[in-house]
Amino acid sequence: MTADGPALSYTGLFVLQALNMGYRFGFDIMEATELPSGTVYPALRRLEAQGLVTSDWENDKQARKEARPRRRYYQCTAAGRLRLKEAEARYRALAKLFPRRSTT
Amino acid sequence: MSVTRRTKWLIRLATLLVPHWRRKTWREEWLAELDYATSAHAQRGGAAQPARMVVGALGDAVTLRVLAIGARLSPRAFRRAWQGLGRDVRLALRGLATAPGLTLAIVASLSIGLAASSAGFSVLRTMFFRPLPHVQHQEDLRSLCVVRRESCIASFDDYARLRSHLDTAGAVAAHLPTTVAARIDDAAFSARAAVVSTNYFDVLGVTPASGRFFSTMDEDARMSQPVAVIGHGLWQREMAGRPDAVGRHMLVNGVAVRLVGVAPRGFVGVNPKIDGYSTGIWLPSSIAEVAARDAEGRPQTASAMPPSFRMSLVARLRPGASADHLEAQASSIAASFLPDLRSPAGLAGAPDSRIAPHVTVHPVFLNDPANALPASVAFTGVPTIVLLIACVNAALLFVARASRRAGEWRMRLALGATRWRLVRQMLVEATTLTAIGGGAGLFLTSLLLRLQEQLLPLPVPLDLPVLLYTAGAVVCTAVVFGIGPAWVTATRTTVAPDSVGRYRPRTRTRSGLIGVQAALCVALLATGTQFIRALDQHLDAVGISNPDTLIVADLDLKPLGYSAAATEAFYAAINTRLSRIAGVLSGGLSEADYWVSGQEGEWAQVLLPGEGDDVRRNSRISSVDGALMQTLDLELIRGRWLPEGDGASSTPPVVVNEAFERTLLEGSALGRTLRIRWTRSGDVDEALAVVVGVVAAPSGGGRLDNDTTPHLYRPGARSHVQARTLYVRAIDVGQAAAGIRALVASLDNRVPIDVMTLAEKLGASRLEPRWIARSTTGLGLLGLLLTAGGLFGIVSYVVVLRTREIGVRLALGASPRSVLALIVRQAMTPVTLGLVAGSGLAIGLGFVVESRLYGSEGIHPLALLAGAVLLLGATGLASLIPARRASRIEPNVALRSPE
Repeated sequence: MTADGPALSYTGLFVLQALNMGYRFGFDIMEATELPSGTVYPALRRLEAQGLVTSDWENDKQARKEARPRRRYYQCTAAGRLRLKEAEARYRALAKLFPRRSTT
Repeated sequence: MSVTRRTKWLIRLATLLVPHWRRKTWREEWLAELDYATSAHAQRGGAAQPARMVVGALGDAVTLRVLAIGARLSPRAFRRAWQGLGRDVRLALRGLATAPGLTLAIVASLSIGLAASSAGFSVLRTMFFRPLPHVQHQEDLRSLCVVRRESCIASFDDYARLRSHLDTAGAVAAHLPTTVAARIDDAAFSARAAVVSTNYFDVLGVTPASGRFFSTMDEDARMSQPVAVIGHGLWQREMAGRPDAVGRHMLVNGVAVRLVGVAPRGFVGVNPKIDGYSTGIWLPSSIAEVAARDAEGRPQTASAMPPSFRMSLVARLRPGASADHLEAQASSIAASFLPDLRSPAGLAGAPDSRIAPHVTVHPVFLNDPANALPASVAFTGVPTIVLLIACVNAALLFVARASRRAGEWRMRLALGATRWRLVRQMLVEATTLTAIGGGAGLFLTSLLLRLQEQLLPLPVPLDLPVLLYTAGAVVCTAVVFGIGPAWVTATRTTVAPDSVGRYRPRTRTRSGLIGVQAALCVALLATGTQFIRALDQHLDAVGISNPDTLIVADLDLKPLGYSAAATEAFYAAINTRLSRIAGVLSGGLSEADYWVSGQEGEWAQVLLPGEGDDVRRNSRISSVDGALMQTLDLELIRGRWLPEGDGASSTPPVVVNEAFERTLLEGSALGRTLRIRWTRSGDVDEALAVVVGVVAAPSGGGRLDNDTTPHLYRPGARSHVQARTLYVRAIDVGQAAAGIRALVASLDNRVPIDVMTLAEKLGASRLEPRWIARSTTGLGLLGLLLTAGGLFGIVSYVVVLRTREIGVRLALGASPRSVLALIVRQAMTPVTLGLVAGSGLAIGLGFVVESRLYGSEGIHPLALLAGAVLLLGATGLASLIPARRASRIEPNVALRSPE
């Protein structure tokens, strides 16, 4: 099975891979990929528009407990994961780019 | 402000780029990110990079906006948005047909506005931006000015030298405008003509409509075979466009010339503002003596013509030559043959470079586009205001219509229609109405342009640029007048039954617009009335009881080379035989044309015997022949008329008017001897005269003999002026006119004569102010109609919106009369305020008109009152109709009404 849709850019792949590795919000992804915000966010928006990523606000209680503003969390959809699998088959090194995040 | 706070502000600013449905969450997300980044960097001991965050936010916002636009523009979304458009058009047409009155009012309003705008654009384009008709590559043409003593004066000799020496820069042609007496078959007429160098048409690159233009052959033939080219207008008018015109002969100033060609239609040369737009005959310079006459009426050959004739020179740049090159070469040629006036003999001092002989070159335009700004304002600004008023009116009427369909909109929304569908429906209706209005406007434009041609002698075509302009205006109009109502309907209508009732039925904007319309309307009406009144006064002030039976005919023997003796013999014969013509009551000749400004007679210095020459006492002076004074209805109040045969006496008798006696002399003028000095052709004439009579205008003043201008009439026998005006009081105008024509033709059939009554002459001479006066009044009436229409629409709209309120008032005991008064009062308040402002504007405009139009006396209170009454009447009626509807509302029905 292959996923349809426009080809993914390298930035898109990095961001998707970062999400798959457990990095879930903007700054986290920026730190993992070492890409600037002006690259990460537009990539996230495009992935979202293509249906490869979804986003949702975190629970208010959690944010209050940690005394910080609430975050918007992104995660791969099934289609996103499929596209990533295909890409990993082509670019073997992709899986080794970032370590899996231990905690969120 | 701290860095973090500043960054937060910048992020908030960037929020404006984000689609509005996502702004709130987007801002929250970015502010959270900023917070997180700041704390993370602080924990690690590094500094946050707020600038990078801002750039990132900006990029993110732009991405979101682009994605939103892309989603809207995707073929699928586009198809979905415009699906069923044909059905909307059908629905619009059906809806418009069900309200024909309202549709007609909107279409009329829009078509009038569009027509005014298109016609204005068309005239502006013709006047300033249209190339000279039939002239090839106008951009390569330059007019040459040979500067002698700071004046632009050129002779034919200058042309000949420039032509032979200007080899590399350009080809020069010369032309000299003049007036000739012409005759074709049996019709003699006066025509504008031009003496031109034989290469004139070649330099301009004009092609003849028929036959040929001049060639070197014509230059050599000279007077042995004189030739001429006739203008298209003259060919149509005097020869009925006969195809065999080329080769035929016509008389020009008594000389038979052969027509060799016809100029193309609309050709006006290169300097129509000076040469006149109606040049009908072109003669080659080799026969210049046929048309060119000096001040004494002597024929002038081209080679002997002095620079005072002011010949115009035009040059075409050769390929590769620049205007600077042309100017430099022409100046050096001019310097070689013109006398250097910088150091005139006997005058010491440094040479003055300003009077060095040189040549300047200027581009050739119909009108210089650099001067187009005032005309642009007049011809596009004012019509655009009319179009805007029309748009506002149409929009108000459209809203009035939409408000009646509130139920329909609610139902459509309840059935699942999106707001976009409502907007689309309204826009389709607006576009349909504007398209119909545009069609009607184009028809009106063509009518307006035909009228315009009477004012501007150039044809104003309804061509592609004008059509494109109208199409553009239609699109803009549809958007301007459709978008407001569509927005109001779509955003304020909800499924809830009382949603429409939340409109504010009265707004300052709406009242303000009505007030502005009323002000403009009353100003235009009053100014137009003032114009017409001034012109009518002008016509009434002729000092003649019946201008319809006074025939005025201008005669000029100068082009025909009459000697002084022959001139006197010719006019004496007319004087003698005039009374024998059937239908003529009396008549006489004068060198003055009393009803043409500037030709009412010469000015003379009046001195009493023994006085020095420095006494400033000036009077108009005109010679009169025969029974002219009686013919002109002058009343003799003292003394006697000028007797026949006194011309030879040593102290000729003169008659003066009352103003002369009152302002120049102390006491009675009768029997006083006067010394009269006047200048003619540079020579000072002086004669003694004795006053034998005092006359007055028939009815309290007039143009001929008004209360303020002193006038002295002397017997005509001493005058040798070749141009005179014949005045004849006729019993039967037709018979007398035919008799006068026959008399002149029997004396010399080459003499052109144009016979018309004074009323016709005044009517023809004031065509332009009449046109302006009627246009202004027309625009005023148009404004009145538009204002009344707009008010009707608004009041209807307001009545519909206030149905419930009116029902409550009636249910609580208000009388129908008080409801009627309430509605009319509220509608008329902005009109009255506009009326006051408009009156001030009219009075201001009145001062301007007064300073520009002879005989005008500022805004007359009656004119202002008439304008105000007309406006109040029309708008009162327009508000009364819906107000009556409001007063007849049944309270129980109104209270159940959702509106």
